[in-house]
Amino acid sequence: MKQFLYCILISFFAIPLAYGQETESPQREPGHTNENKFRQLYDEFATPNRYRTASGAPGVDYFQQKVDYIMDIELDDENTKLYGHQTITYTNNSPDELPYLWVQLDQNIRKKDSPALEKNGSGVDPILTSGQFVSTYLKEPFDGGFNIEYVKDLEGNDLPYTINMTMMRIDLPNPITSKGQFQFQIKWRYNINNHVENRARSGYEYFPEDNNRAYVIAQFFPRLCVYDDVEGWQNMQFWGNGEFALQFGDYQVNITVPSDHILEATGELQNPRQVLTSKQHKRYRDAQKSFDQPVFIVNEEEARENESQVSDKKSTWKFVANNVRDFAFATSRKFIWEMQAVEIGGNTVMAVSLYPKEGNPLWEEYSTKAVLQTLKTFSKHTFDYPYPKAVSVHARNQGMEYPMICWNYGRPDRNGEYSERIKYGMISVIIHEIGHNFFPMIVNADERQWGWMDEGLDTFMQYVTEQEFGKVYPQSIGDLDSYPSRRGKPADIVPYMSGDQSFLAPIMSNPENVYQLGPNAYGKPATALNILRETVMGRELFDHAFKTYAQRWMFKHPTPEDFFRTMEDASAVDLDWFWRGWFYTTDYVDIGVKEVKTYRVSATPGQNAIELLSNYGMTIEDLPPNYNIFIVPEEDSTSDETIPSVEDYIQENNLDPETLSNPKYIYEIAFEKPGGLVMPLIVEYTYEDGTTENVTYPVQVWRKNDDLVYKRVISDQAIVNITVDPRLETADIDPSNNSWPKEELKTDLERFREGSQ
Amino acid sequence: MLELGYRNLFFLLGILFLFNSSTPLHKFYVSTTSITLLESQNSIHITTKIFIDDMQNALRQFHSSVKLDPDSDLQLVDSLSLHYLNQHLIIKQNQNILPFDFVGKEYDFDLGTYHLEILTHSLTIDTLMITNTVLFDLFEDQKNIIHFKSSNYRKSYLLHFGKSSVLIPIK
Repeated sequence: MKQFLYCILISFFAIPLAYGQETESPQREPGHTNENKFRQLYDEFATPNRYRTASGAPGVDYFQQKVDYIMDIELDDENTKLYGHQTITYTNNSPDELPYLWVQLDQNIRKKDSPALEKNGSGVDPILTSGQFVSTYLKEPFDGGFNIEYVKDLEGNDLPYTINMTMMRIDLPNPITSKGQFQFQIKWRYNINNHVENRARSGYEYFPEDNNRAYVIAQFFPRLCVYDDVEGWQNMQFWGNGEFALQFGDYQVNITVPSDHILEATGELQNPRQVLTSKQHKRYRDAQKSFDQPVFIVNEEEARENESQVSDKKSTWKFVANNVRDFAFATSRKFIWEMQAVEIGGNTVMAVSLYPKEGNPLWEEYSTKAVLQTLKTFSKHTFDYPYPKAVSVHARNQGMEYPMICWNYGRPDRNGEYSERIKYGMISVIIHEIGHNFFPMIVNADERQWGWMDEGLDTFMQYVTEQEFGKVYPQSIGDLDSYPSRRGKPADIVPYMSGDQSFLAPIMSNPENVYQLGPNAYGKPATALNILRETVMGRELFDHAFKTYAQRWMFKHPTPEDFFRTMEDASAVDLDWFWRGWFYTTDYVDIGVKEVKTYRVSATPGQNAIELLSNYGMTIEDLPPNYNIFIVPEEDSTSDETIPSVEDYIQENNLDPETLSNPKYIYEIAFEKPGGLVMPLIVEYTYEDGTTENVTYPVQVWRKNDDLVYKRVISDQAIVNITVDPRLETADIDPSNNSWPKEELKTDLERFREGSQ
Repeated sequence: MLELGYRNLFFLLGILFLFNSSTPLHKFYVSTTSITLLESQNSIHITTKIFIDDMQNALRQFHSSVKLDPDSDLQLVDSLSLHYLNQHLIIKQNQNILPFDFVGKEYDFDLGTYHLEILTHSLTIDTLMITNTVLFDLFEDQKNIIHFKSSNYRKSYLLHFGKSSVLIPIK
């Protein structure tokens, strides 16, 4: 009996609502599978194997194919056509024989009959402007897409091929054996589109004032698909949203353009002496030693002169790029060209900016600075930037990344004036696109399948870099406290995560099949990683694990599991609950204070003790004599009584009263969790004297009850306020239950009115 | 890539025609509107957040040289903004449009926040019909999020080109 009572009393506070609530169910309940939010991700994760280990690293049998390209490219500026011939060397490092090769023809998304043009529903608008009417009902679609002239082996024999939309299968005379090699050549041409008109990732912008074009050329040559241990051939069609999956290889590319063009590309320029004037060449060499400021190879005045006349001669720019997954270039006679050297881990890297005069005065002020800061911050958090240069090209409306080169928007108006939002937008897009060199150009994830693996990680690092940029260049942020990052802060993802569930998709979704790609692939994963770093893991553990992931998968092809596993493997933080909730579901965070009960210590039993005992047919008299302390509801207690039996106990055991706390107030706080995501329970207690105490209960408090958890707080003074998530760290979507006593939340309009009075 | 919604071709033609300076991109085409029913005050508070550049493009359909943040002409911008919102954000009780007052606006970095208020004699409402076609005239991909709240009901909606209205049950 005594033992039994002891159990009851022990459990009294541990499971406060347990008694009196158990009703016998007339029928036996059915069983269920493990639905616990903390269960491990065995069902979702691929089984580890010799290609990819359980710790998230490449395994002993990890392989990747190598594809080398030798290309001759020619631009017909007058007719906006691009011509190319390429020799491809395919090295099969897989254990498998390959009877055919799959090649990506991304330009085919712009064919007149491309199914991608019809991938969305369309309706009939009753009211249109004349411009809308012309483009919707009268205009012929653009005549884009590859014209494949031939596919031959090196002896000149035709190789049979089949084109299925944006994919081309080349059937081989004999399968390529494991460790074998195959060489072949493709000749092609296509019409270059105006990228400003149709929102393409590459093409030209036309400048009617001086009748010139600025080209940003990418996805411009047939590129081998990835063959790996996860997808086999990754030949999912290019529909427009899911970006690219590409193999590493070495490139030698010769690009012929009008001789008055200035050109930048992936890789190192091999013949600067031939394509530059002697003045330009001297500046080009000076720039390699200029670590404190950029050197202009072509300044604005010279660019204005260049764009005012047209050369009928041609020049061939020769580039070599090793261990890159793609190749892109930008060319125009309008370009201003500046570069500055920066030392990254013992290597000299050139930070380069290329822009038409229309980008000034914004571009000369900020582009190269943003490139430099990105290389520094990303290198610190991942690995030293391994390529010889990073180029930021200004192209209207663009934000697109390639190895060593990217296109970025941000243009002042005709008078050279720009708003703060254009300035920050431009700096942010440069940081984002230069950052893509790390994810996915080097940590080479499959973008076609998992947009978040590069966009999410890059947007997270963009946030970290932007914050550092604001500190390194304080004049750039004026009187703001910090750089105004648009994404990364937990509160910024709340409007998305609290939205209509029928238009949300888990992060682990294909980019083609989500309703809101921006928050889905960029904002939410970036915020999730920021929360992991600041709130769940802490910077030290997170930064080490994140760097481990980047270094393990540098120049390799990681999967989501490789990332998830490495983050746990390198930190000893069990994160299955986090990945499951944030990446595999559309659940949201909503945690609040449900109820607060105040108790006092007493020598006389309260109503609660009497009721508890009566449930078991007992009275106070039935208790053994050493059960003589009662925790009673505040309203039942007489204040500040001393309890003789406790005094005796302290004396008998020689306890120093100085070391003991004064349990004047005892609180039992019920925290509720209407939201599906489990998160650490972050609470701020404010006491009578105005002092505050911040407590973070581990996320594990939710493991046995997903809806409700009780916490006991003992204090020598009264608590006057309890706030859950006081620093807005968790993206809690509903602040109305976050405080006790409950605060009536003001509407935005009321806050605005108060602020403007 | 920086995520760029695919704008309507017709919009681009229109916009190029209208002005030739910059159209910098933000990352996705979405506006957020919170609508709060304050029964005790017989009032409905509406706060709608729209990217400033998008709003500027929308207002330039009526006045080609107008500029926001800083506003080229404060009174003109406020009246154009109200005019635009009146056309595209429509709140109906039964068949009657509930007109709103323009309380004020704020700019924060790239986001414009517009505060609107509906005042009625008595708020005895069973259902509200909310139509939000803000920026549907410019962007095919535009999505408008509605967060609705009353004393006993709270729900979020996402409106898009094919579904621009929602009927909200109050009681």
